[in-house]
Amino acid sequence: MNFLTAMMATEGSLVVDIFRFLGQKLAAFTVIDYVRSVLDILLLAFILYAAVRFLWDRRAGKLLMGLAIWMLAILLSRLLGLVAVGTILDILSEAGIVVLVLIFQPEIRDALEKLGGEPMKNFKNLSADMDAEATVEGINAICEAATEMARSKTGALIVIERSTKLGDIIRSGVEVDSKLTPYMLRSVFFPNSPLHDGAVVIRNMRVCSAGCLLPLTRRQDVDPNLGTRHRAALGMSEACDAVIIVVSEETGTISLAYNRNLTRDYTSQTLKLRLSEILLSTHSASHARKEDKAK
Amino acid sequence: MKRRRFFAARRFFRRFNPWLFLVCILLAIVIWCAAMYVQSPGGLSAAALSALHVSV
Repeated sequence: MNFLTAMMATEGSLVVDIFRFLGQKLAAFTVIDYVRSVLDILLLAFILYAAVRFLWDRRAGKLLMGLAIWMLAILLSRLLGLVAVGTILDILSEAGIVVLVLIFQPEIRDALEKLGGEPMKNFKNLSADMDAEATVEGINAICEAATEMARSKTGALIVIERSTKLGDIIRSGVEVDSKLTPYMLRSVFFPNSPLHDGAVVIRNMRVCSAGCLLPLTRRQDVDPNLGTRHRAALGMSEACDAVIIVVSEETGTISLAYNRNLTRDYTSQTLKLRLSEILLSTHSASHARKEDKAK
Repeated sequence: MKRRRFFAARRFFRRFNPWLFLVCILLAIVIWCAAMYVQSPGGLSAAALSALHVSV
């Protein structure tokens, strides 16, 4: 009890000391200092907000909560003078930074990719219209192939690479590097063909690789009726900014996974519109929409 | 391009949580105060921090 009182007294005097110091410091502030400090605080608040929002809907959110509880336990063990528990927590905490980096590795990677990806994406938009024609042709080929495969209930998994490079996924399959045509896609996914099992990766609107392995989603809230192909599509959409198209072997429905979401029951027209929206600039997407209306 | 930026901005504000941002501002003020105190010449030195058993 004496220890607790002493600790509280020390902390109390520290708080008083900090307030006294801040009072003196703020009194000596100029207008520029105030503006700089407000900017500093707002920027820090925005970084904290972005970090919390980023971790909120990820598994790391719960890990972060676990970490907070862990730190609270260390603080309590110190305050209450629990020597044995405190020592064990201390020993375990020493390896904490390495463990943290290991645990948060996918999130750190994701965050850095987003940080580097977003400004680059905006920069890339400047030259987007240049290869819009090739993209429209590619979209048409994918839609035609997907519709045909849906009709014949042929399972298919098509990944369209965007700003995140998928070299590791491409290397897991067989390199093809062919022109993107509906016939090419249909022959890859033709039942019992050597490359039909796995995903096709499309890079720069060319069939880059086939028979590729994709990471499965670990989400628990996925419809249990969805098979491995849909889970792989969702897993891939969680790992990067690629667009993934799935044709179900059982039901013949076309689904699209993008940005951690899986949307289902696409027709040829709606798939074309959605792909145009994602892959083309606004101008080209509206152009595609007008073309469709004209038809 | 402008329209897409407008929609991106609208999506951002729709998802914006003012209460969470308020908590973040309060936390940022606390961190700012602590940083000012620690970095000042008369503030806490590294030795004083370790003496207080402040762990990271």
